[in-house]
Amino acid sequence: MRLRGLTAAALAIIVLVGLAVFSACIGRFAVQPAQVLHALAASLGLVAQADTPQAHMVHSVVFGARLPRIGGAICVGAALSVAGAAYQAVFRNPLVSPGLLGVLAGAGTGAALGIVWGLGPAGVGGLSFLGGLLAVACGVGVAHLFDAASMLMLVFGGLISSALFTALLSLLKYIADPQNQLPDIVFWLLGSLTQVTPHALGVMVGPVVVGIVLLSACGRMLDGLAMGDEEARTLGIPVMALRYGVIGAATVLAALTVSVAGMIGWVGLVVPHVARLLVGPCNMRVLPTSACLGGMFLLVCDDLARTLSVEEIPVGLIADLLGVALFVAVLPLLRRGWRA
Amino acid sequence: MSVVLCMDHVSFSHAGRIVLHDLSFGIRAGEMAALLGHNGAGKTTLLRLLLGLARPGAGQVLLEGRPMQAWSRREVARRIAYVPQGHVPLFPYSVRDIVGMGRLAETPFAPGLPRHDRDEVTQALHALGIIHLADRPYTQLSGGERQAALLARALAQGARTLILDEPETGLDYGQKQRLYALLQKLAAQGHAIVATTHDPLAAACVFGRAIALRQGRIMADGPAAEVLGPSMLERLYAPRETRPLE
Repeated sequence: MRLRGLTAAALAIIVLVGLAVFSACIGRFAVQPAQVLHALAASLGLVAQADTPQAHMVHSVVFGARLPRIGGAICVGAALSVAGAAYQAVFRNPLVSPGLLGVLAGAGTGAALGIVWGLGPAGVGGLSFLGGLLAVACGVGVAHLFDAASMLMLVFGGLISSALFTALLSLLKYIADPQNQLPDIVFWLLGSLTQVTPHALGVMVGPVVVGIVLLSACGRMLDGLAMGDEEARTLGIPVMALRYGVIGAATVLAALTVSVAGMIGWVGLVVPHVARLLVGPCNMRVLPTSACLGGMFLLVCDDLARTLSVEEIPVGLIADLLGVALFVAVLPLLRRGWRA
Repeated sequence: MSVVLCMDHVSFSHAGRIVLHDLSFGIRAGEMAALLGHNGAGKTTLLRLLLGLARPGAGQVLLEGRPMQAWSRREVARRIAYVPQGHVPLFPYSVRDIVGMGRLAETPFAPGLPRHDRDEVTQALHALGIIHLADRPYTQLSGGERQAALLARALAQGARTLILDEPETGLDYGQKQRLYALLQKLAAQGHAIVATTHDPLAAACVFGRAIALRQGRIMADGPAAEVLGPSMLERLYAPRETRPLE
């Protein structure tokens, strides 16, 4: 099945909006789809706001609690998936996840440091973001010490950086106060969207959208990169600039997701594969499709996290479990397309 | 015809070993030059220098009279197209996608291939007689079909100089004849063609010029039929002396 162009884009938007409205309805306080749509229309000034206690309740539940979370889930899922697809293209390897160069380990360490220092949510998020960037810088730096042009050295650099920051994270867990800090760190590393405020969402949306557009615009050059570095250069592609530009943009996206929602790993590896099954291998289609599918996937995961039990389940856990199931389900289809 | 690509006293060493030693020659538009030599003679390094993928240790490579490093990668890609030995990417791009990559230097950021570029791609597919393969995954092609797809990509690139790395590898007799006929036609249209080859007999018939490389030096350079005579071939492919180059 291959979907093309505008049809696919229209379909994706309809499904995404439908899912978002559905997600706004479900939860401890049930809301009817019509009420959600009415509240949305009212907030846009299209219809008059009903002045009943019921309407106010719906308004505060939908706008205060659920929509920021829904937006957060879509943004985080989209950013991780597009970052994963970009990493896979740059490293010419379908088994690469956004964590390859250490961004997840670094962001986790940064967040743990923030918690140990007793910073607020904004401080923890900021430190986490910086930690992610720092870890990738370390990985790339190690690669540069030996042979900057070699992709193998980049992978080794990432491995070293990941190991280093994972060790630092363990150290922080060890010295954290076991009564209140350690549980915070553990819960935070499981990944959760409970902390997404309208403000955090506002900070995140811009960079995520810009990142997705920028990476998608490089899609055709990334295809050329699949032919190998030297061949890509003869096709007129500035290989090193493209590689580091894409790694930089994908790293910022991945670090942003960790700073907002903690560690949600697998999405970035699995979703691009599903995207390739739907639209073929060309990155100018794979990247935006991955973003859409990733947003939908994490939204569904978060709905399950909110509703499966009375206590909220960390969304990272659900995403990992569902991601594994999805990967096993599509693996037979993938094998057919690969050289193997 | 004018010289398009030129080596001017080029030397190249790698890891302390001299790979190429003081090479000078020029390739003219409309010329078909075969590059011959034993394995390890430096043919691949020479191709990389001609493509601007490696920088000479001494001397310079000139493209249209300007040093190679003065051109941007995009400018080089518009002038020189490379046909590598067919290898397979992991992701199953269609033949049309692969040939479309030849247009990357023109429109690197276009969300899709613009109409004009799509026409170029279709033309190139027709020229190679592989339009029926357009939507097949490149990963599933035979060696000969892959070679044709890469050649179509080179044509779609619109470059006037073609550099081919052992293009006849993996082709059957008929495919080879058609490849040679196509290269001759392109040369007649004014393309400059440089190809490495391990088939001196075919090269003598098909190519106008032969450059024979032995242990990093040019041993002979001239009309293919003369250079590739029996006595020269014997010396060219004789077992290597163990004495290192001075």
